[in-house]
Amino acid sequence: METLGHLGHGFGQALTPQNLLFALFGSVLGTLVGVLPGIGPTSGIAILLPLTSFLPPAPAIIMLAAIYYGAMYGGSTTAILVNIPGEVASVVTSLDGYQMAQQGRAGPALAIAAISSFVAGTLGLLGLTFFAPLLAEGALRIGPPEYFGLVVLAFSVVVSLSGPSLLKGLSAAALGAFVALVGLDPMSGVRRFTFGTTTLLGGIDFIAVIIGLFAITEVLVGVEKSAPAVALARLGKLMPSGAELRACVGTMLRATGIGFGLGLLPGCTPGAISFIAYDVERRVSRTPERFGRGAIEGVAAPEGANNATTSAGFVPLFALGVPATPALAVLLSGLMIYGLQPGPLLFEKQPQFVWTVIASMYIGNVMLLVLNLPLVGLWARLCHVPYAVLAPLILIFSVLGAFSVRNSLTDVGMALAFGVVGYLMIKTGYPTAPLVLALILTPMLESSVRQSLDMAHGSAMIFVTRPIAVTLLAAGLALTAWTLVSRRRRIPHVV
Amino acid sequence: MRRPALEIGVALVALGAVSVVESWRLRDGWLGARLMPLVIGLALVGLGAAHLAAPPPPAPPSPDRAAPGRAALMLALVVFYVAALPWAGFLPATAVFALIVVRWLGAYSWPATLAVTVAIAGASHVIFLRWLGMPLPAGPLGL
Repeated sequence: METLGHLGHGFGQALTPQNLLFALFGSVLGTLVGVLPGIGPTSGIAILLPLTSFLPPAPAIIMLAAIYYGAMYGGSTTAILVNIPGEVASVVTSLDGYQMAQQGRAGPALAIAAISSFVAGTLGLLGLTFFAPLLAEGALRIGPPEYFGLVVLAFSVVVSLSGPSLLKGLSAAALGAFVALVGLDPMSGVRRFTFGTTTLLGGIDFIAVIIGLFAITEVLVGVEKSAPAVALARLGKLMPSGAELRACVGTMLRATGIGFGLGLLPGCTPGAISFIAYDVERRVSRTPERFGRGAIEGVAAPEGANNATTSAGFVPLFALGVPATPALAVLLSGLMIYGLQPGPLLFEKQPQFVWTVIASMYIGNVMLLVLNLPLVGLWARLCHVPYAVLAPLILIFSVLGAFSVRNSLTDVGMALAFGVVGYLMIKTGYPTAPLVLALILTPMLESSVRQSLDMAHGSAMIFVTRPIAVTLLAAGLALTAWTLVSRRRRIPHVV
Repeated sequence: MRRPALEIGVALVALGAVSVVESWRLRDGWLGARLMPLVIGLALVGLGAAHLAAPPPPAPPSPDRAAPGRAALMLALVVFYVAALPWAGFLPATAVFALIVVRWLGAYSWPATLAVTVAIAGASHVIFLRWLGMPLPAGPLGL
């Protein structure tokens, strides 16, 4: 009851005209940040942080938090319409969302993305409201061996993302893992695969790879079809049918559970979590063959998961001062600018601030739904933009998006190179999703393995002597075996 | 369609070999920075060898008539655009790139092409340089 009292008081503060205005302002800016490729939540918050410097702490953090979850909402729009994920977590959304847009169902895809984001975001906020300190302590007990188990579990998704040929999927994943190793080793500072140059010291940025593999590849594939063959997606109806909504209820709840549960763990990125939510949805579906071909659940699952992750990320941030994602690390610096030290004492020392921000998130979620649903028609009409206009726009935005990562043309060059890689992969039937997944997971895999082995003085027994770690490992291996067996039944000739 | 699989197999083996050699070269423990390059290198070599031993099925043929020359031309245009950015500046390079692509793909009249070009280059300039303050190359004209 005490929590409800605090929350009620928070709503009283959050509903003041000033705080409402900044929540709205942040939601709109965040949506824009999400829509623009390359400018993800992290750089969005970093760019807009100075804008909030003239504000008191509560409206400033309300605005920054609204930018963060606004970006998570907006990232799906370009992923669905033009196959350009606005941020990393939307990569999975593009798998089915873009197919839906191609089939003239851009409206329902955008609408279900907004609805699923709202449902999962709001349920995630309930978790944040009622369980923050408790959950944060539990999440901290997860050590490197458990993270290793979790990554193995996540890697089992590669098998189901591989398409008709397992060999092709595994090869794509191995390429992604190789790319992830380039640059300074984060633990020892040793240079790897830099070939004596300084250009590759910072590694190959994830955003540049995504932009290349999705946006640039998309244009290269699109442009080679003769002009009349470049079919512009039909607008179609704007809202999902009642049956589609009902089909997505379970999806949204599962995505919320996965997104919120895994989002509590620092280092577990929304990108990886949305892949896991998508895979779970495909596994529980009675018609898994629809996934990748425009299944509406394939949009609802990653969008729900990444918004639940967004809410969950505030649990370790507020309760322990631990940012779960890079974007939250930037937000943490925003808190510290105002002399607010997140941690166990924040709820005691600054209850008014914390509960006002939490209440404003509920309001921000409603605002985003209200902003996004009526705009579905407007966004969906982007499908009617002629390809001759869309193609240069995509390429210019891709160049800008890759450049914005580190203000360097090297990243643009990388994006172009991965555009060619993506094009060749499509032409030869290699799936790009396992490459992306491996790129996300390999740094986590490497740090968890090495930290675990350090803890155990080099003994690999640590992975099988800790109950949570061994459970996760067993689950990962069981899921891989299960998928392999079901693949053999479905596609007897798989290699 | 056996040839692409063989080429990809050879490329994977070569990439794996580079990774294994790199892990050998690194000055760190085998349970340190060398571990993952070695594991991934061996995986790449194994996968490449699997390609050579039993090539995977080729990609299903596309239902659309493709013209790979158009993709190559578009790639060349983007490469020239990116190469021109540092010395021409963002706005002029973007305008020329947009003009060529819109004219090529759209086959619109010149006035329409120019209008679309101005809209694309102008909007990009205002959003990314003015509003977001992105430090894009300005070129000799400062644009």
